[in-house]
Amino acid sequence: MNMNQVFLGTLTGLIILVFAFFWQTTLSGVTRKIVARFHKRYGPKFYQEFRDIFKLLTKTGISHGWVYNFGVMMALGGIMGTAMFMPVMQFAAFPGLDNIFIYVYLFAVGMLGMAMSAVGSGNPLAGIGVMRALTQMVGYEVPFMVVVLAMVYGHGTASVSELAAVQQTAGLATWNIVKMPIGTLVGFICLLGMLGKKPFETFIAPAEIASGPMVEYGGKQLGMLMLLHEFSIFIEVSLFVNLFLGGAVTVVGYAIKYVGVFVLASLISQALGRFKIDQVIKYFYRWPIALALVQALIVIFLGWGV
Amino acid sequence: MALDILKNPVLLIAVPLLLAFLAVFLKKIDKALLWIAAVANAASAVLLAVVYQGMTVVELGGFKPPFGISLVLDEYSLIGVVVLNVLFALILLLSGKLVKQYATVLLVALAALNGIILTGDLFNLFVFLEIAAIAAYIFTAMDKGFKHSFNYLVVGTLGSGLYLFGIILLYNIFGSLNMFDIRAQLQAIGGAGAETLTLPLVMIFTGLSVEAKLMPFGGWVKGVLHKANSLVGTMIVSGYALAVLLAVGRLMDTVFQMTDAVLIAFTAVAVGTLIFAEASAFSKKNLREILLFSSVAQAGLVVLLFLYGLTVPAVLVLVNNVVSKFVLFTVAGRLAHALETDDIGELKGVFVKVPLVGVGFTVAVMSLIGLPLFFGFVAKINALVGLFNAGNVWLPLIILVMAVVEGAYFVRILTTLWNTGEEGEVSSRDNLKAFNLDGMKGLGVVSVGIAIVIVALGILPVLNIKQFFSVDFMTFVQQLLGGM
Amino acid sequence: MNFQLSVSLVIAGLFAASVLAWLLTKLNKALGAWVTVVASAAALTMMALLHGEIGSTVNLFFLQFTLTEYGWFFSVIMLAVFACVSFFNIYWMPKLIHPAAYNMLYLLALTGTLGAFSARDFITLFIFWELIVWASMFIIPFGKSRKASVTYYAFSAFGSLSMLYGILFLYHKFGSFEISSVLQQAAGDPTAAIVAFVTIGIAGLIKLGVFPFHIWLPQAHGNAPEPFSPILSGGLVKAGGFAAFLIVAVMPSYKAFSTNIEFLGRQLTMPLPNYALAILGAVSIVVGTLMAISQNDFKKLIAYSSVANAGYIIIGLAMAGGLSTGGALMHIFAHAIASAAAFLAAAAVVHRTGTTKMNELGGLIHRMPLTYLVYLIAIISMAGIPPMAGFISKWMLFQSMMGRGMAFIAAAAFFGSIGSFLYVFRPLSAVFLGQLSTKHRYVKEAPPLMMFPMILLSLASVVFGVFPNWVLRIISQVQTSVGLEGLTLEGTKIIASNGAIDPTLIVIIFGLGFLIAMIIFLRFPKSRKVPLMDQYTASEFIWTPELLHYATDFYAPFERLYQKAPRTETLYRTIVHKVSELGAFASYAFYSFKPGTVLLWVAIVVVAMLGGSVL
Repeated sequence: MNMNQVFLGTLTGLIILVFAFFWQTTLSGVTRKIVARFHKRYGPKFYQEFRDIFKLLTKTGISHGWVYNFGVMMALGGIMGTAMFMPVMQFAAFPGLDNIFIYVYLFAVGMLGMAMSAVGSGNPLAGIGVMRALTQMVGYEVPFMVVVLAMVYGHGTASVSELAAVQQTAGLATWNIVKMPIGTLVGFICLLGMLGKKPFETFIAPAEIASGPMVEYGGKQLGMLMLLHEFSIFIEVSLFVNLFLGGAVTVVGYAIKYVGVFVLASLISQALGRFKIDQVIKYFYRWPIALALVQALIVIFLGWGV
Repeated sequence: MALDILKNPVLLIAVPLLLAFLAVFLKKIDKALLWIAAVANAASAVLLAVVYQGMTVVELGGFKPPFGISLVLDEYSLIGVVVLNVLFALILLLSGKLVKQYATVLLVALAALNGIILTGDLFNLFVFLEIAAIAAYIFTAMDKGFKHSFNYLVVGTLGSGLYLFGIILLYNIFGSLNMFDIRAQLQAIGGAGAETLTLPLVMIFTGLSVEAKLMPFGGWVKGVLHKANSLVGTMIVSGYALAVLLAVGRLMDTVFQMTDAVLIAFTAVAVGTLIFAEASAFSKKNLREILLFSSVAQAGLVVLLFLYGLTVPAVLVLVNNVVSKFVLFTVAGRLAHALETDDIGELKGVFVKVPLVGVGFTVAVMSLIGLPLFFGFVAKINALVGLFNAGNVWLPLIILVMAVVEGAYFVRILTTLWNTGEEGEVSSRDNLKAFNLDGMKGLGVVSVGIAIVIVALGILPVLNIKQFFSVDFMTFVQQLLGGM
Repeated sequence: MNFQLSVSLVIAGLFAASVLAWLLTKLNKALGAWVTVVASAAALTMMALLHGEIGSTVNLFFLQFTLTEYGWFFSVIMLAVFACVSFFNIYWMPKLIHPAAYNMLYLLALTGTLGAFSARDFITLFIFWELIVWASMFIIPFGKSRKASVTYYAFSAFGSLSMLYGILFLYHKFGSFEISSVLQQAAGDPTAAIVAFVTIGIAGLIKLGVFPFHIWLPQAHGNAPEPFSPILSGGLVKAGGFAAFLIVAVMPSYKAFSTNIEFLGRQLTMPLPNYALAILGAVSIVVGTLMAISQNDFKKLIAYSSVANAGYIIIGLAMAGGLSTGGALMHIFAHAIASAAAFLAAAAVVHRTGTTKMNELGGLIHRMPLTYLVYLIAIISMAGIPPMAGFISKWMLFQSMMGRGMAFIAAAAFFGSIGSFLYVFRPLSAVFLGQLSTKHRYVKEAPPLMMFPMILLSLASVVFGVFPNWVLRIISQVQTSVGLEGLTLEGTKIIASNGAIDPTLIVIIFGLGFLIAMIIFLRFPKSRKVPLMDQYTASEFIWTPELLHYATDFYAPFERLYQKAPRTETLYRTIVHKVSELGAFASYAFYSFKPGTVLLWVAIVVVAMLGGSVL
C-alpha cells in the first residue's frame, strides 16, 4: 500500500468515525424514545445522549491511578480504530483489508483496555463485572464465528466489505438472511449478546453489582466510556447489517436496515429478564452453537447458501 | 617361562582354592589371604587380557576333551573373567570390613565363579555351580538372614538337581559332556531331532534359572537381598549374576537347539520376568528391594537376548548391569548400614551430604536406564538393533515399554535422594535432615572412578561409528583392553 | 580441529561451557551464572551468523550435523529464549539447592536442543533429544515437586523410546539413519510411513504437551524453579513441534498417506493421520483452556495455556498448507516469546513477594509497573490480540481453517481463543490490579538485570506484531525448503487465498484511534486522584480491607459448569496404580519367604513348558 492509499483510507475512516458518532448517538436517543413508548411513557429528548456525553466530559471526576486512565484511552482507541475499518454503504476505508478477525480482535483490545481500567480502579465489583463480561464473550463469540466460518468458506473471502459487496449483486435473493437463514438467526442472538442487551445484561447488572465495570467511573472517563458504548453498538450492528443483510447502496436502505435491527434488538430486550451468568453460557452452548454448526455443515457439505 | 605359567587361566581358579584351604588352617590370616587372592586374580585376569591372542583351551590333567575337563578362554570368557575379578577386588575394597569370618567362604566362591565362566564341560559346570551356591548359602546368612538362606538352600538345591538331571539326559543322547563337542555333534545332524532335546533343555534352563533369578524360579532373591549388606548384595547381584548368566549364554550358544515351542516357552519366561520384575520394582519403596528386582528384570533381558543368539549385545547389557549394580548396591548397603533404613522417603536429600557418592550413583543409574552418553546406551542400541535384525518387532516394543517403567522408578529414587522437602515445598538445604554419614570418602572416590569409566565407554565407541555397529565388537573391546 | 564457524563448534563450545559453568559456580555462584548468560548469548550470535551455512554437513567425532532452514529457525528461537532467561539465573543462585549442577544442566539442555535441531541422522537426534530430557529432569525437582520430575521423565521417556522404536524400525527397513533420506523413503512405503508417523508423532505430541499427553506439562512447568519454567514452556516444548514438523512436512505425511478419501460427498483436504493430529489438537485447546481458567496458581495457569497453544501449533502443522504451516511456525515463535516473557514476569513477582498464589497477591501494578507492562504485552500476544505477534499467527491459522471448512475444529479453536481472554486476564486482575495487600506495600520493582531480558522479549512481541513480514519471510523460506508452498507477502501485507491483512496498517489505525482518545482525554478537565481504598461500597463500612480484592475463585460460575467433568489425570493415576498393584502382586506371589511357594511355581512352570510333549 502506498502512502496515498493509506492517507485516503485514513481520511475515509475518520469521516466514517464522525458519521458513526452522530448517527449512532442520535439513534440511541431515538431508540430511548421508542422504548419509552413501549413502557407507556414519553422518554427523554432525542438528543439526550449528546447532552449526557458532553456533560460527563466536561465534569471534573476522580481517578484511581495511571492504569485507570490509560485503560480508558486504550479502550476508546481500539474501538475507534475498529470503527474506522467498518464499511458504510459502499464507502470503506480499506476495502479488502478489513478482515473479519480485525473486528473481533481489535474490539477485544477495547474490551481488554476497559477491563484493565475497571479492575485497576480497585473495586471488586468491577472485577466481578469484568469476569461476567469475559465469560459472556465465550458464550456469544463462538457460535457467531462458526456462522462466519460458513460464510467465509462459502464466499471465499473473509473481508467484510467484500462479503457485503457480494450480497449486493442481485438484490434480495443474495442476502445472507435469505441464503443462510439459520445462520442469521444465530447471528442475531449473538448480536443481542454482543450489545449487552437483556437477557444478556449480566455484566452490567445495574442493581446487582452496581453496574459492574462502571462502578467507579465518573466525569470524563465515564463520558469516554459512553462514547465507547456508542461506537461499539455501531460496529456490532453494522457488522450484522453488512454480513447478513447485504450492506446497502443507498442511504435510505442503510437507514432502514440499521434502524430496524437496532430497534428490534432493543424492543426484544425490553420484554425479557436478565440471565445469570451460568445461564448465559448454558444457553449459548445449547441451541445457538448447535444451529451454527448445522448451518456450517449445510454450507460445507451440501453447498446450499452460496 | 615364568610368564607362560602366569598366562594359564587355571590359576584364576587354583590360586583362590589353594588359599582357601590354607585359610582353613591359618585362621588368623584368612582375611589377608582373601586379599591376596583377590588382587592376584585381578592382576592375572588383566594380564590374560593383555596377552590374549586367540581362543585357548586348557586341558586339565592333560586329558584331551571330550574325555577330560577343559577350560576355554575365548573373548567371551575373557570379558567375563576380567570383569568378575576386578569387580571382586573392588567389592572387597569397599566392603572389606564386613567380611568377618567369611573369608574362606569368599575365597571358595571366587574360585567357583571363575570356574563357572571358564569351564567347557557340563559336569564341571555343575560342580562349580554347586560350590558357588554352597558358598552363597553360607555367606548370605551373614547378619542373621538364616531363614532366607535356608529358603535359598532349598530352592537352589532343587535347581542344581534339575540341572544335573538335564545333563544326564544330554550325556545319554550325545555320549559326551563337553559343550563344544555337543555343539559339533548338533551341527553335524543339522537341527533334526530337536524335539528329543526338549526335556533336557527344559531341565537345564529351569535349573540355571533358579540361580539366575528368573521369575518365578528365583523366588529366593527377595528374602536374601532385601536386607543384605553391601558385601552380600554386591556378591550376589554383580558377581554371581555375571557368572551364572555367562554360563547360561555359553550353554545357549553351544548346547541349546530349540524347537519353536520351546523357544516360545523360554521367551515367555524371560519376558514374564522382565515385565513382572519391573512392575515389582516400581511398586517398592525400599532401595534394596528396588535394586534387586531391577537385577531380576535385567537378568530376564539378558537371557532373552541370549535366546535369540544376540551374544554380543547380551554381554554388553550384562556387563553394564553388573558394573552399575555393583555401585548401586554398595551405596545402598552402606547407606542402610549407616542410617538404619533404606526407605527412600527417609533418605531425602542424602546425596547433598555425600555428593561424590551421589554422582557415582547417578551415573550408574543413568547407564543402567540406557541414557545416551553412557555405556548403557551403547549396550541398549546394540541389543535393539540385533533384535530388529533377527526379524522381531514385538520384543523391542516390550523392552522399550518396560524401559519407561524402569526409568520412572529410578528417576524417582534420584530426585528424592538429591532433593529435600515435601511435595509442594521448594527443595533447599534449609530443611535437610541431619544424616550421620562418615567414612564414605572411599566409596565416593571409587564410585566416581567407575562413573568416569562408564562415561568414557559411553563416548568412546561413539567416536568411531564403524566399530559402533560392526559385528565384531569383541575385537574392538579387546583392542581397547590391549591398549591399556 | 579447525575453528571455522560451524554447528559442531557451537555444540562443542556449549559442552565445554557447561563444564566450565559447573566449576566456576563451585568457586563463585554469581560468576557461574554469568557463564550461562555469556554462553547462551554467544551461541545465539553464532547461530544467527550461521544462516549462511545452511545445507553443509559437519562432524563432531561420530555425530553428524547439518543445518537445515527449519533447524536454524527452531534453533534461533530456542537460543533467544535461553539467552534472555539466563539473566534470571544470577538471582536464583542463592535459592537453589544445587546451583553448580543447575548451571551445568542449563547449558546441557541448550546443547541438547541445538544438537537435536541440527542432527543429520536419527541417532544423533535421539542422543541429543535424550540429553534434553535428562538434563531438565534433574533441574525440575529443585523446585516445588519431586513427583513432577518423575511424571515428566515417564512421559518424555515414553515419547523418546517410541521414537527410538520408529528409528530402529526404519533402520531395519532402509538400512540408514539419515533423517531426510529415510523419511522420504518411508513416504513411499505404507507400513514404514505409518510406523514413522505414529512413533515420531507420539514423541512430538508428548513433548509439545498435546492432549492426551498433557498432564506432565502443568506439573513440570508449574513446579520447576522459576527461571527454568520459561525454558520448559517457551523453549523445550518446541522440540515437540520440531518432531511434528518432521513427520508432517519433511516426510511429508500428505505424500505418504492418500488424500483420496470421500466423506459425505466431499473429499477430505488432509490425510486421515493428519486429521487425527488436528482433532487431538482441538481437544487439547479446549482442555487446556478450561483447565487454565480454573487455576489459582499463576504458573500452572500459564502452563495450561501452553497446552492450549500446543493444540494450535499441532492443528496448523497438520493442515500442512502454505498459510497453515506458516501460521504454526509463527505461532511457535510468538508463543515462545510470549510465554517466556509471562513466566519471567511471574519469576520477578516471586523474587519480590515469594509466592505464586494469586489470591495472596494483588495491586502489584503500583509497585512493579514495568513488570506489569511486560506481563500485559505477553498476554496480549498469547490471547492473539493485535498489535502483537500472537495475532498474526492466530489469524493465519483461523484463515486456513475457514478456508478448508473445518467447522468443528475451528469451533474449538475459536473457543480457545476467546477463552484465552479469560485466563490471561485473571493473573492481570488478581496479581497486578485490584487492591495492594499490606504485606506487599514496600515491594520493589524487579532489578534491572531482570528487566533487561523482559523488555527485550516484550519489544520482540511488539515489533514482530507490527512488522511480522520480517519473520514471515524467513518462515516462507523454511516452508519452501521442505517443498511446501510459501507465503504471499506484499510489502507489509499478508495475503491468503480468502483474505488479507496489513498488520502495520492495523497498528497505524489503532494508534490513530488512541491518539484521538488521548486528545479527548487531555482536552477535558483533569481528574482528581483518590486513594485506592476510596471505593463505592454502597455505604458499607469496610471492616476487612484485605478482603476487598476479587481474586479467589475468579471464574467460579463458569468453572461450576465443568467442575464435575472427568480429568485425564485420573486415567494416568489409575494406570500407575495398576502397574504398582501388578508389581506388588508379583512380589507377593512369586517372591515369598517360604520355600514351598517357589517350589510350587517351579513345578507349575516346568510342567507348562514341557506342555505335555514329553510326558
